[in-house]
Amino acid sequence: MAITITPTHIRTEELLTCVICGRERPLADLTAGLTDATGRQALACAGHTWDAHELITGWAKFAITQRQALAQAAAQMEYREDIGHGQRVF
Amino acid sequence: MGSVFFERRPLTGRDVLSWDIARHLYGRQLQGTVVILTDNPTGLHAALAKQWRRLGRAVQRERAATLDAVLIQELTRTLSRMQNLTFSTQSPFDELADVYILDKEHLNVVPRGTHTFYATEVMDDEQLKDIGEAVAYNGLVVTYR
Repeated sequence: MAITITPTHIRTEELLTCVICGRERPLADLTAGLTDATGRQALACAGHTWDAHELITGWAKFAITQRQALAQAAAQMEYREDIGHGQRVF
Repeated sequence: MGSVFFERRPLTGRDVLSWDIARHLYGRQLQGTVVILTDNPTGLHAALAKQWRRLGRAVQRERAATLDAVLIQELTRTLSRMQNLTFSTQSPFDELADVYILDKEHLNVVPRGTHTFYATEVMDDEQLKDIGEAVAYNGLVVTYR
């Protein structure tokens, strides 16, 4: 159970963080799931798929944090629009 | 193949396969169209639908067990998505669905917007390369060997 090939922009030699438990793992121990607020692929320990509780609450909590991050970014953008008198600032 | 993830998972039997796909699909259900390549689409469809419903009941149990309002809201959203996910054993040209379960005969072309491809049949490297090129950017190809 392992990720064997990744897009070229991901450095496979480094340990990567599981978005569910926060542990650093080699790519071989990870599985692909949701994407984060920036559109990047989130990876989680392959072992989390075995436990329904970890699987369900883990991805749900991750989705909540990503949704909050998106809402914060949107609020910041609105704030910048207010400062710029209606002009979008990127 | 430079823009796609490849993941290898074990294959030990039909029941285990549908269980494993359901668990993995749970984390991928938001990421566009899903295609499952199998030699027995009807059998896998029935088994996967059963495992999907079972997982849905587990989500209901988790929702009932928590007092966290934000988590309850998120799990409600997840449940709604799970119940609305459509499975099909028909070709993408014949029927619109979120998850296509197809054999090689019906898989003439990987549907546009496919982000996850499960290959439960043995495929050679050349075939996998073609699939990898057809899957969307940052997509995932899962192989069972």
